[in-house]
Amino acid sequence: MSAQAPGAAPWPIRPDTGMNTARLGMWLFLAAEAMFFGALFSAYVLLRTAHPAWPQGTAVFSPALGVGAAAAMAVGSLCCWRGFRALRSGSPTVARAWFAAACGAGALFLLNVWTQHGILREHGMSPRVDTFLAIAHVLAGAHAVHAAAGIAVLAWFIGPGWRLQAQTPERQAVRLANGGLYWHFLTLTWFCVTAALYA
Amino acid sequence: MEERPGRKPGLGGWARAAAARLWRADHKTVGLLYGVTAFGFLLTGFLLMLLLRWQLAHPGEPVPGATALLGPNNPSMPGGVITPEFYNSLGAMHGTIMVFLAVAPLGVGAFGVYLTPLLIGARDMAFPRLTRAAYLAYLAGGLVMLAGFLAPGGAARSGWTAYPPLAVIEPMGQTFWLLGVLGVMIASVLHGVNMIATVVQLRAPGMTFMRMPLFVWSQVVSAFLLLLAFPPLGAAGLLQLMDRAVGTSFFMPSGLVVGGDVVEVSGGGSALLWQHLFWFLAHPEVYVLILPAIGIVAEIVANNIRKPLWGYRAVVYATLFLGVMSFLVWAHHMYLTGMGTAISAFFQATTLIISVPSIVVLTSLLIPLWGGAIRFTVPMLYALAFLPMFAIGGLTGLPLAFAMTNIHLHDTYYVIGHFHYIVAPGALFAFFGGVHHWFPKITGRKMSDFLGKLHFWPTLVLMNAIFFPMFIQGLAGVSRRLYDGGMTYAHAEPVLHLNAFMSYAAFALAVAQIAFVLNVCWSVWRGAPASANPWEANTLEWAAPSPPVAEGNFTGPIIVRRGPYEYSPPGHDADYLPQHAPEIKP
Ligand code: HEM
Ligand SMILES: [Cu+2]
Repeated sequence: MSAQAPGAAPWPIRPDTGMNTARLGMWLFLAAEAMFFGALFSAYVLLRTAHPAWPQGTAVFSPALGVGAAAAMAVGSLCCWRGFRALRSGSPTVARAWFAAACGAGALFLLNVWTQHGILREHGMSPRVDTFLAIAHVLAGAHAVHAAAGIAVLAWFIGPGWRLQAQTPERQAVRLANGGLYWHFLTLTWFCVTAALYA
Repeated sequence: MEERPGRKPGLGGWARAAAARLWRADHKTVGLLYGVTAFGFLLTGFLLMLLLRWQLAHPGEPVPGATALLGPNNPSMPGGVITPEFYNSLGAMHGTIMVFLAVAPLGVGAFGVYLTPLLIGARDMAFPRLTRAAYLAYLAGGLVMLAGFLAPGGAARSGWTAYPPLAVIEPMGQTFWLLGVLGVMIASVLHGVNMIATVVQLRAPGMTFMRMPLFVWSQVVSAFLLLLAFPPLGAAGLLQLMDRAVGTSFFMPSGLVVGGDVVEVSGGGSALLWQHLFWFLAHPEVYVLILPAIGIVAEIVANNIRKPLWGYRAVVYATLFLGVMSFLVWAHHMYLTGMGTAISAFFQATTLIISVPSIVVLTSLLIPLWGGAIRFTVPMLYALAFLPMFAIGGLTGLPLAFAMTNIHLHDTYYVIGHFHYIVAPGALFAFFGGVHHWFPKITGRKMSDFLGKLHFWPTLVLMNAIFFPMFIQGLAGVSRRLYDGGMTYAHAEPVLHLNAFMSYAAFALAVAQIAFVLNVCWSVWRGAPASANPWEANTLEWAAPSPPVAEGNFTGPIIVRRGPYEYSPPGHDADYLPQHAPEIKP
């Protein structure tokens, strides 16, 4: 995309709606995802109010790991944002590097969650014990599965999928930007999960 | 398929060509696949219902032919008699299949995916590969759900609502049900994304939102409902799977006793949580069942009254309002759970509010019938029958909406009668009409009028013969989901004789459907050839050839110049003026 005005979106836009179709698709998908996690959070609220003695999360989970996981997601988001800016300024190779860094941060995040899970297992704190541990496992687990899928897809875009850059750069740009958008969603959700489980 | 001269394609080649044809992701192929698949599920759900109705008419008597077919020792039907457990499976699976695998996929899948791009002048859906992925997820989910019949203990049997704790302690079949629902959820989300993006982004030049046919509006709103309401059911399904497979207690209360034994779970969960999450989906879902039907009826009515539809804008706004409100009424299914009078009052109020836009839609379709030069075509017959059936279904909902009257009617056959008027003679009539209306566009051939009427009249009479007596039984207090149809209850005694009447009407209804199936099969091969616009209609699908061009639908660029319902415009010879036709010079 060399002929575009600087700062303009590097993908085609329908003039009367001002939107790109794939971007719109991503936003809609995020709305559905928000409803999915929203339902899990409502379940959390209901179970918590019904619980006779909801435990203090900081006493159950490792605070250090909690900070680490949130930081990993935030750093990943930051990398995606820099990658998005690089896309807009027309430097896809720089963008690629930033998105690769995001995937690295994502791997650290997953490792972190896995470690926390292992610690819980060791102490016999399975989801069967009570509704607190049950909803904690489901919130964190559902998020981790979504994150793993998102990271895998993003890694594919900048790995084997990079050939699209030569064929249709505007499609490559839009799907990378969508990957970033999904990442921001995951970061936000993870902050909510952390708050719900530690607070 | 490449042509190899001098060699006839063998069976393998033919199969490969068929597979390639079916694997296409374009909206017409997938729309037809939705149609065929959902019709198969509709038949399945119908057959399960026939078994139910046999048991209700002749409790405990062997089903004719069952032993010959299944052997005398089939665990579901020993000696040909339906067991109570199997009756519950039949009921649960009939409801689930009809809602999730038949009526919704017919409305938003078959009609929606096939027609929407045509009606907005687009070449295809926005994301063709998502179109196919959504279909495959639906197919997979449906097959998994059906496979439940082969599971030990039989298919799911805690109703289509799957209320815990019962659903959690039931055998394997319920797990199949949950996995199937997850498949349908994935399909619904993908479809929702795709359909909304299509309508927002792919409208032909000149097709402003306020020039879109009502059918398209009904599809957009349905897509929003699927997109936003299904994920919570997915989440709830995940939690129920956890309860069943991992042993968590999301929905399991403390100290639950089953068959004299305390259930070994940690407890502390809430059965009501499931009901909230379920109905948060399921109320919007019933609008997904009816909105596409309303859209179909609107197109048929507009085309056959030959004058502008009354209150187009009002219908559009009413539909949007319906969509929003449908997220705020769910707990009217839960008045009897003891959730409290304040909450009941809230949901009673929202439910009354949501009935206003429904009435707006209905009157907007009724009023223009006056003074119109109505063409009583076969599709119009179905559309005209839809209106009073939908009205009966809607009006009988009002006594259910009030928390007080609901006490008497809740979980009786009155409820079964109420919602079947919406989904059986309601939605299904719209679909029958839609098939007749768009068959010429899809196949290039017309359906037979004679067979159409032969199907329409008996179906209309029999549907009412089945469902009207349910109101009487329900008002007398007969509960739904009863294995023996109420034989053991004294209060059911005076209305018990209606069971056999309804059942034989249902069997006759099955026979009456032969005319429809014959009509479709016969017309595909032998129907009279149809022109591009046999109904002299205004909307864009009729600007495409019949059938539409395989790649891209239309033969040339489409420019939209006016709204969809400008019938009998002044100063114009013909009584219709297509949306894309050039300006008329007076
Ligand atoms: C003409 C066709 C139909 C007939 C005669 C029929 C008949 C019945 C009967 C007798 C029951 C009650 C079973 C019981 O309570 O023990 C029932 C339940 C139900 N039907 Fe239908 N039905 C028909 C079509 C449909 C359609 C098209 C839908 C589509 C949405 C549908 C959805 C349901 C649902 C959701 C239930 C409740 C299942 C449950 O209790 O969990 N039915 N039907
Ligand atoms: Cu409802």
